Amino acid sequence: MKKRFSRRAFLSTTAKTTIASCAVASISSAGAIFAMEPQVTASATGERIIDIHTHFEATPGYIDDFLRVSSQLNLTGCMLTPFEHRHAVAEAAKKNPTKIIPFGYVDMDAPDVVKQVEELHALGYRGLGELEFVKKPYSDPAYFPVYELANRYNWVVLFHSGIVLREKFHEPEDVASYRMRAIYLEEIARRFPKITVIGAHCGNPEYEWASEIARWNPNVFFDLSGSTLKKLSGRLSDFSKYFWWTNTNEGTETPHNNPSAFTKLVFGSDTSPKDVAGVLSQYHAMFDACGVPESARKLILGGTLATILGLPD
Amino acid sequence: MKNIFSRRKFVAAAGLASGMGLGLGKFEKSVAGILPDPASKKTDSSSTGRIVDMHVHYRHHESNFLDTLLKLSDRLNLTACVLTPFEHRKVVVEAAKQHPTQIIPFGALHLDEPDVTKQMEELHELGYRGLGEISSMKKNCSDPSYFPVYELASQYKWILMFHTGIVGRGEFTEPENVASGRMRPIHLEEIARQFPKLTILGAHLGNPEYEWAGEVTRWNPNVYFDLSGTTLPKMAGRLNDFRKIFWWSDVEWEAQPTDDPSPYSKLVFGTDTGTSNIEAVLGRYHAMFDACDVPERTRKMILGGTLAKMLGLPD
Repeated sequence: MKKRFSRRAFLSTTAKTTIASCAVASISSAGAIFAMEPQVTASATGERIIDIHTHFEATPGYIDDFLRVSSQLNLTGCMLTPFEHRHAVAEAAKKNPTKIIPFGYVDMDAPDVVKQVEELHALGYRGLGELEFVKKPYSDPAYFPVYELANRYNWVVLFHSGIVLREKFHEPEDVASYRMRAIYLEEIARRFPKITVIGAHCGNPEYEWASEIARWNPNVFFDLSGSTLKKLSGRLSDFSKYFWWTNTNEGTETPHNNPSAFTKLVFGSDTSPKDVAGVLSQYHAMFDACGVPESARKLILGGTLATILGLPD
Repeated sequence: MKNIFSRRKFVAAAGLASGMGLGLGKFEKSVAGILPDPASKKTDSSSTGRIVDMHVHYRHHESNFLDTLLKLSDRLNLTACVLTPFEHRKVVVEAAKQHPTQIIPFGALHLDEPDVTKQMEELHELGYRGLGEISSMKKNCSDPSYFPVYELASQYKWILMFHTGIVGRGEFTEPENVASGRMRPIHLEEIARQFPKLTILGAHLGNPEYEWAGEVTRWNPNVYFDLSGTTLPKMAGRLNDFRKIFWWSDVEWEAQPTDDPSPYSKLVFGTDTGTSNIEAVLGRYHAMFDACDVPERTRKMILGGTLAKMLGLPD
C-alpha cells in the first residue's frame, strides 16, 4: 500500500484490538489460539514462515527490527521495496539470503518502468510487488512489457487486489479499486504462465472471484492480509465456501498437489514486523475454523513459497 | 431510473398487492410474514426529528402529487428531495420556494445529453441543490466523458445521487441500451476520489453488490448509500446480514466523516416509492435498525440528521 505510515499506524492500532474481536468469533478454541505467546504460536510448527507481504519502511533501524522478528519466528520476508531503496534492500538480502527476499515496487505507469525492472533483475530481485494504484486495469496491454519481462525472469509478482485505501480526502486522486479487481489477475496469469501471480487481500470483497481464479490457474495464489481476516473474524468458516473444492478433483495443479483447496493461500501480513505475530494468529484462527489440515497449514505459512522461491527448509 | 413510469407502475401494483409495496410474486407471502407491520412501527418523527427522504421521484402523471406529498410531509415532519425531470423543473422549484423545508429540488438529467452542462447551469440558477437519480448512462458512470458534469457539480457543491446496481428494465420488447454494469458502486469510488468536494449518494446499496458498497463507503467520507428499492425486502429475512456489510469499528475507520463511530452512519434514508408507501419503507428501515442494534443517535442521523446537515435544513 502507498502511504504506509498512516496505514501502518492504523494496522498497529487494530492489531491490539484484533485479538479481542477475533475472540468473539465464537470459535471454541479461540481462547487457546489467542492465549497468545505470539512467538509460541508462530514457531509451534518449527517450519519456516514466509511472508509475501512485508513492506520495506525507510525508517532508521527497520532492517534490524525485521531481522529480530525473523529470528524469533523463523520468518522470511519478501521485502517489497520502492525503487529508490533498491540498493539498501539488495545489500541486506545478500547478507541475509534466507531471511530477506528482495521484491521491487515499481510504478507501472512510469515511462521507464521496463528499465527499472531490468535493473532490479540485475540486482538480484526475485519479483515485483506490491503493484497497485495503476492508472489502467492491471490487464491492460500497456502493462504487457512489464509482464513479459517478469515472465522471462520466472518472477513472483504480488498485486494489490480489491478495495484500496484512500490517501487523500480533500485532494483529487486518480485511483480506482476497480482497476485492481481480482478478475484481472486471471488474464495476466493465462497470458504469462511463468509468472507466479499473488493477489493481496484475496480480492476484498470479491473473495469468491479470487478463489475461483486461484482454482483454475495453477500460477495464482492469494494472501489474506489487510482487513479481510478482521472483517470475517465473526464468520471465519465462510472461507470454506470460497475454498470449497478440497478432495474434489476440481482444482488445478499446485506445487505440492496437496488436496486442500486452502493451499491456494499464502501467508502475507502487510504490517510492521512487530505485528506479524498478530496476523499469524488470525491465520491460525481461520485454519481452526475451517479445519485446514496440518499439511496444508504448513504450505500456506511457508512451504509453497519456499518451493517457488527455491529456499531451503 | 430510466422509465420511471413503468417502474412506478410496477411498484404501485406491487404495493396494492401487498399493502406494503412488496408484492414480489411468489415471495410475497413469506416477505409479508417476515417484515414487521409498518403500521405497528412508530414511524412519525416525534422520536427521530426531521426525516429527510433522499429518493422521491417527481410524479407528474399523478394529479396533486405535490399536495399529497406536502400533507405527508406535515404529518411526518418529512423533507423530500424531489428528483425532477428537466421538463418539470419550474413547477418543482416553485413548490420548493413556497415550502423550502419540505421540498428540496434535485434535477434528474441524462448524462449523455449533449447540453447536459447547460441544463445544470439552468438548474443551479433556479436553485436546485443537486442531481438525481442519475441512471441509465451509456458508459460507466465514472467515464471521463462525464467529468465536466462532475466538475460543475463540484463547483456548485452539489449532492449527486446515483442509481447503483441492478436496474429496472423499461422495455421488454424493444432494444434498449441500458446496463446495470455501468452503475456499479465500485464506479462511485472513482468519482468520489476524483471529485472530493462532491457528496455522492448511491441508491439501493449497490444491489446486489452490498459488500462493495460497504467497502466503498468505508474508505470514502463523501460517499453514502440509501436502502431503497428491493434491498430491504430482499434482506427482510436476514436483516442481521447488514452487520457483515457495515462491519468496521471506529478504530480502523480512517475515513470517518463525522464523530459518529457507527458504520451505519454511512446510510441515509431513501424510499423510491409513491407517497402512499413512504411510511412502509420507514418501517423497513426501523426493522433493520432493530435487527442490527443501530444506536439511537445513528438512527436519527440516517433518517434525516445527516442530510439535514448537508442541505442546511433546520432541525
